[in-house]
Amino acid sequence: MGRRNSPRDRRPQRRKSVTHAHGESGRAGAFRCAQCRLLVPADAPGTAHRNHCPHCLTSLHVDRSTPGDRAAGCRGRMAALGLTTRSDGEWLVVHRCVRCAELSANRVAGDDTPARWYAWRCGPWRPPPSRSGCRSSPDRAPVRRSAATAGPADGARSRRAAHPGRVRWAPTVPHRGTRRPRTL
Amino acid sequence: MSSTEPNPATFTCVRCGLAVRGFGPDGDPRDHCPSCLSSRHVVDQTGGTARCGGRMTPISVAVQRGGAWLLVHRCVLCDEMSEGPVASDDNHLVLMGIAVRPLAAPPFPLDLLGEV
Repeated sequence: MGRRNSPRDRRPQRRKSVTHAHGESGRAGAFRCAQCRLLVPADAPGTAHRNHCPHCLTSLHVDRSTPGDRAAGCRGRMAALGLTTRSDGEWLVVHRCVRCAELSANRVAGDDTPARWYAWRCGPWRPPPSRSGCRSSPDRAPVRRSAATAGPADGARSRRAAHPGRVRWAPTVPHRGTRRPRTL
Repeated sequence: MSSTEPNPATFTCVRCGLAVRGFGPDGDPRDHCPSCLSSRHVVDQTGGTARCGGRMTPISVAVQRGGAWLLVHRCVLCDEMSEGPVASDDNHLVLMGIAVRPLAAPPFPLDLLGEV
């Protein structure tokens, strides 16, 4: 157990004012994933507020601010957007609703798929938007052409070469969802 | 936005006090400080004016399929979350720190990844 994950430092979870013992579809404490249709039990190790599928990490937009309040009338599918951490080291999955673009964060459960978490952070690595000129290299140096020899097509190429920082990087991973994470 | 006006010429960062131009180097309106990446809660999710005015801290970096980076903010007063694009002159050190922060404190042993 890590230094930050000791039970003494763990933040107490908020108590639910509404309990959904029978579920929305009549199943006792279970829900069906909106993405992969997996039947997910509500009991999860490590968290009392499971709201996403442990396989594909997709959620449903039914709560507004308090877990379990069912105050949102959207009911859109919430796709996982990214990861964040609390100050005590707990991981949170950031979801975004595909219908209304609402954002929410939920703590990860103990049986969530770790490969999906690391697929975001280790798989789809792309460089951030670079500053203009900071990634200039000799092979990307602007080609100096004289005005007499440069045609219209050459003019477009030289404009692109004059901003080497705006050259887009080629995608390294065609589909990040099925890529296995690197061994760290 | 980081000011009460929609697209001001300059605004002052509520965290580090930096005077920031309202538009980025690409001409896009800027919603956070390029130095500390903090923002201010004056626009709600629907694009209207929010009355909170609290400071918004950057909590996460999301990578879109096209390769663009998104910065997710959370308000310290009302816990409202928002997202915005990353400008090209944002502080790369802070950006990378936010992106790799989950890897610095994994909630499970990293040997588990070899078994997945």
